[in-house]
Amino acid sequence: MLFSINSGLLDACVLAILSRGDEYGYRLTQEVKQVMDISESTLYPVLRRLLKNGWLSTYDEPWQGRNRRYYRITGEGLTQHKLYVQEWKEYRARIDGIFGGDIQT
Amino acid sequence: MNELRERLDRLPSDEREEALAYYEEYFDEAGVDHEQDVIRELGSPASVASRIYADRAVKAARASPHNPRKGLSAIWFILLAIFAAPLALPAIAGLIGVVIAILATIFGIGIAAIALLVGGLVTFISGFVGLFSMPATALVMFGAAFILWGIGKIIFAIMGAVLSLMSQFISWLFDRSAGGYHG
Repeated sequence: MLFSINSGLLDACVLAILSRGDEYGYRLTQEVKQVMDISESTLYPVLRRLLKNGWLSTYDEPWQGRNRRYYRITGEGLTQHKLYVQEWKEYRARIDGIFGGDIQT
Repeated sequence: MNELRERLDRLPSDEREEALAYYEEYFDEAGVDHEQDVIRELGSPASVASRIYADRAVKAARASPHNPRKGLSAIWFILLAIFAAPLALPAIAGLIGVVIAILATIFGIGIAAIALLVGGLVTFISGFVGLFSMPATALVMFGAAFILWGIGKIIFAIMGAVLSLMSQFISWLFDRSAGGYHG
């Protein structure tokens, strides 16, 4: 992969996935892995940061005799998610513009 | 997991338990089938612990221009991250000396900045004291005080930025070695 992942993009992807439904850590990692080449430990600090920002909340649910911690997006998180989507659209349009020759330098 | 617990002993116990719970759950979910893959990707408990410390360093460094204590915190976490790292990480050994030297310099500059801030304060107070007997001199003192204060604050801001960069660099180093984001 030529283009590096910065942490903002990772935050945005996690928020996007969670905007469609709650998830637990392992499944979240597997889903992000389908899109980006991340390691098993990458999401732990990301989730901590998103929690600290108040964009996520957690709850526990018992599963097969142990505990599963689910992450849920908050109202603020949804707002942030929409912001990211908007930012991405603008960014993508600019890059497409350069690649497609629309923007003359 | 026990080794990870030991290596994380520098964290407050609730944060340590959180991290352990996350990975405990992760392994449970991976199940017997995928356990080996996860272990392979995570590397050793040492590298996981390093990454956790490095992440704290980045967080503290980002907050540091506004809060000098966070700057100290960032330095501490950087050191923890380095010393928790598995010795197998090739780049680390050589860089430790450089990083420590830079940290010492930053610390020294930080002390100097504090001295400037204090100096600024003292000058301001002197100006104030002399205000009625020697107004012109007092004004000069006030001016000097603000300049000193300003320089002190600028230095803190620069330090914060440097710490932030360094923490991110170290964080990136651990990512590369432990098989973090690729590309």
